[in-house]
Order: sequence, then C-alpha cells, then structure tokens
Amino acid sequence: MRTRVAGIAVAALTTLGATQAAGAKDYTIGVSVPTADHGWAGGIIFQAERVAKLLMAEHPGLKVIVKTSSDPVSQANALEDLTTEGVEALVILPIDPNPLVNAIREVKSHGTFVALVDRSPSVNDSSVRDFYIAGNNYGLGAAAGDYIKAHTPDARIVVIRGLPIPIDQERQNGFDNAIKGSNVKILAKQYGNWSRDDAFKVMQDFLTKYSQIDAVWCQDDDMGVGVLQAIKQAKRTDIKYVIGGAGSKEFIKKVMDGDKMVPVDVLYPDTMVATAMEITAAHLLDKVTVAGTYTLDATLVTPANAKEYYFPDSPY
Amino acid sequence: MMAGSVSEAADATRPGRRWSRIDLRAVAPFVALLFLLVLGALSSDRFLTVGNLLNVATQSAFIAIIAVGATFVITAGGLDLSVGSMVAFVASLLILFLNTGALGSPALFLAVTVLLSFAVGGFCGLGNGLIVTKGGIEPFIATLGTMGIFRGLTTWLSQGGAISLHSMDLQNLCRPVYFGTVIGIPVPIIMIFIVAGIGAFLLNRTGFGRHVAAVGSNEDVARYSGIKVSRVRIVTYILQGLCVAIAVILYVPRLGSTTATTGIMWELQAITAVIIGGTALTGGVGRIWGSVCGAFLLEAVGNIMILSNYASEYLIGAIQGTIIIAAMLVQRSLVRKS
Repeated sequence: MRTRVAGIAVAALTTLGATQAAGAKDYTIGVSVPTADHGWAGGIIFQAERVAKLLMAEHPGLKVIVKTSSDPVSQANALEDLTTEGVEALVILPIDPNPLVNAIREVKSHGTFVALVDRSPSVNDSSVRDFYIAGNNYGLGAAAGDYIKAHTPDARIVVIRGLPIPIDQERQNGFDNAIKGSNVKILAKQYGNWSRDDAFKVMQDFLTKYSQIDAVWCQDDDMGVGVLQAIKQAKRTDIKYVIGGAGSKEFIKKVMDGDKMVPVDVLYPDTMVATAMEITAAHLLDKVTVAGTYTLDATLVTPANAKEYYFPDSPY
Repeated sequence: MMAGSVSEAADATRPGRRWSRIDLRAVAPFVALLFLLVLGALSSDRFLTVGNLLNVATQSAFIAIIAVGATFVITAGGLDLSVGSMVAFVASLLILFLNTGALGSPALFLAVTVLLSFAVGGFCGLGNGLIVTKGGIEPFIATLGTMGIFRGLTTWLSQGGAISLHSMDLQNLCRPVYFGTVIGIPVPIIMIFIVAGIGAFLLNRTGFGRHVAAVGSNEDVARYSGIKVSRVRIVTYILQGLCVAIAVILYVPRLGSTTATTGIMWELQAITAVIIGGTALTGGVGRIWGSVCGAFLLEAVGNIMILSNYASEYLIGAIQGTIIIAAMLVQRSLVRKS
C-alpha cells in the first residue's frame, strides 16, 4: 500500500516536473486594460490586440491574453483570474491606480513580472512594478504651446480643456509655461469634457464672445472635431488653426493631407500598452534588463512624419 | 407620490381657483426664463443678440425634443433614464447604415434612414414600455437597465472609438438638416416647435392626453374608469422613443459621428427641463411648452456662464447649480402667491 502511494506520488512529481520543464520555454503575458469608454481607450485596446497577435506569431512559445475591465473592482478580479491562469508577466493600464495598487502588489508577490502603464499610483516604485511607462502630459501641452508661440507669436487664443483631473492640469501647466513671457494671449479657458458635443457648444459660445480668435488649443482630437464644425458653421475666417492632441486617425489624416486648419497634432500614443508588451516580451524571452521608468515623447506630428502614426483600421 | 397626485387632482376639480392656478403654474417657467434673460443681458452685451439667442435655442433642440417625449412619460407616472444612451445607439445604427451605401439614390437613401430612425427609436421605446408594464418592473430600474444596454451596444458597435460618416457627399447632403435655415430660422428650432406643437395637441386636446394624465394621477381610478393603463403607458414610452429618433435625425448631421460618450447625461437634462417646466415628477400634470422652456433655460445658463467674465472655469458647475435653483425659487414663489 505504502509503496503504491509513493509510486503515485513519484509519478505525479515526474509529470509535474515535465510540465514545468516544458513551461520554462513557454511564457504567458497577461494584459489588463480598461474597457473602451472613450476613443483613446478604444485605440489602446486595438493596438494591444494588434501587437498581441504579432508577438504570438513571432514567438511560438509566447501566449498573450488581453482582458478589459470596466471599473477598478472588476479589474482587480481580472488580475486574480490572470494569476489563476498562471501568467509570467502582467502589463496593466489601471483604471484608477490607487485602489488597484494592492491587487497589483499581490500579483507581483507571486514573482510575476509587472509592467505599469500610463497611470501612476502615489507609491510607484519597485515594490509595485518592474517598469513604468507613460506618455508625457506636460509635454503634450508644452508642444502645443511652443508651436503656437513659434508660428503665431501675437496670437489671441482660446483653450478648451478636458475634465478637471490631474492629467488635464499637467497638460495645462505645460502649455502655460511654454507660452509664458510671449505675446500669445489666452482669451478664455473652458472645460469641454473631452466630448465632441460639449466642445462644439463651448466653441460656439467662444465664437459669439470674441470677434477675433487666432488659434484654438483643445488638447484632444475628439474635441477638435466639435471645434472645427463650430468654426465651419459660423463661417469664421479669423481662426488660423486648431491644435488637438492624442493622435486620432481623423486628425493624423488631416495633418497628412496638409489641412490648413490642422497643421500639426501632438501625440499621446495609444500604442503605449503595446510598447509595454514588446518590452515585457524582450525581458522574458531575451533576458534584457528593462527595470525603470520610460516616458514616451509627446511627438509633434507634422505632414513629414504623419504617416508613421496613421492606423486607418484603428477605431480611434 | 400618491398624496401629491391626489391633491393635484383635487385642485383641478375645485372650480374658481382652478384657472388662476393653472395659468400661473404654466406661466411660471417663462417668468423664470425672463429673470435669466435679464441676468444674461447684465452679464454680457453679446447675450441678447439675435445670433446668440438663436444659437442657444438651436443648442437646446436635442434636449427640448427629448423633453417633449419625457413629458408624456413623466405625466403618466413613469420615468425614462435610457434616452441619452438611446440617442447614442440609434445614431450609431443610422451612421453604420449610411456607411453601407446600400441604396443608389441619395434622396431615397436618406428617406429610408429617417424611417429607420423612427423604427429603431419606436422599437426601443416599445421595449422600455413592455418591460415596465408587462414585466411589472419599476420604471427607474427598467430604464436604468436599458440605459446600460443601449450604452453598451453603442460602445461595442464603435469598439470604444468613434463611428463616423465616411461619405463626404452624404455628409454635405444632410448638413442642412442641422445647419440649414428657413427664413432665417435654424431648422432645429423649427423642429422644436413642430414636435412641441404636436405634443401639446396630443396631451391637452385629445382623449389620449387625458388618459395619460389620469394614469399618472391615479392608476387605480384610471383603471376603474375603463382606461387601458398598460397600453397608455406603453404608448408614452413609444412617443419618447420617437422623440429620441427626431433628436437623432438632427444630431447625426451636426458632427456626422458618434462616440461612446454621445448623449451622456442627456436623460438628466431632459428630466430637469421637464420639471423646471412645471410638470409634476409624481405624474398627473404635464406641460409640454414648459418643458421646452426648461430646456432653453438650461442651455441659456451654460451660455451665460461662458459669455460672462466673472466665473472661472473651475466654478461654473457651482454657479450653474445656483442659477437653476434660483430660477426654480422664482417660479415656486410665483405659484405659492396665487
């Protein structure tokens, strides 16, 4: 009896050993991102899924699972599911970083490699993640400000902001510092809630209020759509151009086509989760050192480089 | 809820006081609007220009038209929280349909699209009505559920991004529906008057309208009087769906696109407009023109905020809230004095 039990145990151990040995070459990367509740998030998912397919095709031993969640609680559950499925690495764009920080730590405590994207919790060090990658919100504002200062030094402009949250404030600070000391004058600032419709209305009211506006900075391409339509309807010719941001395909296309109203766009790349996936794969498969913090440039998209950032199939 | 509607009903039967009361209540929202217009004129010299007022009225068209439908639903004692998501859903379907380019002749194509809009809107309303009446689920919960469904379907259809009308020809063809004018008056404003005119006639001058008020006033009494309560309720939700369809027909030509955030919070704005307009949230009394006035009032508050210089962008929400409450207080004090 005893020998039989021992025999089974040995057999079981051998099988376990065998699967583990096989697993040493196979890796799974879990990717957790928010559901697409606005255009940019839709782009994030599109790019994550696109690169997941590419990675799996390039590396036969590699499996990539992309999961979307609609709120912090369900995202925490998704992390647990991924841990249960057994992932060697996690790439996460947290919906709200602070409530999720413990759930992320929990994943990391299992020895899982963690890549944190875009949103930083108050504690953002090696106890939470192995590397952190984000866009440059301050730079997004600064790039727009620099362009306006350089091309229309005496411009009287209006600004349409997003929502009153830290990201928006950072962008605004970047913009304000860029035009500081110049002759560019902000006539008014107003929130457009990153919504096409709200930006349309705010722009209509700005057009009523000011008979001379030289340029518009609206921080986000979605809002830019509303702004352009409002200008078109009012048949106003005083506005020389509109600068959005984030890099939607609609606006990148306009830049590419040389649209005078949209001479440039500023990137807040929706490929950043995909970038994190590539870095993670490089670490798992090729054992390169990747720990640290990465900031993606708020690249100025001009007709010269627009092609690189144009994804006609993306929903954003 | 019951007590309020019963006393409303009792007031209505008290002769002599009846007329003075009803008149003042109906007039009150317009007095509140007058108060707001004065405030607007004081805060910016650009407020009381024809161009600006037409602009505000045009901006209010979506909420005003939806509020006409909401007046029916609320008067019958119901509630529809799904209208904002329904706008996004119906609009997305229309754009996807237009993008198929299924029909050769553009005019015929647009006509079919309009019919499709009414069909989908009416069907969504019918769904709400059936869940509430046949399913016996509280309107708040039922329409909260469909609100999630319509929003989710929109997000799914758009894959979280935007759904845009591809064909520039079609875009230019339907642009006048929102941006066009007839003898100087923007089309959306004309639509407000047509929809509200039909709505007011239905609610105030027909047997159906009286049934709607009776159902909202006291369901049991209405049932004993031989009114088909469920059918009346369902029809109010269908009317709401048709109003949403009309709003969508105006909405799609404007930006030619929808996103997952299209129509967010419109349900609250529509309900607020209805209540500011003097319709009782408890049902039984409905005022179509009041609702239209309420929608204009809400839009004007936002417009005044941006045109005036004394509110920083951080304080706007607080000041808007204060003005709405102040306008309501003006209105209520007027009603109490009578």
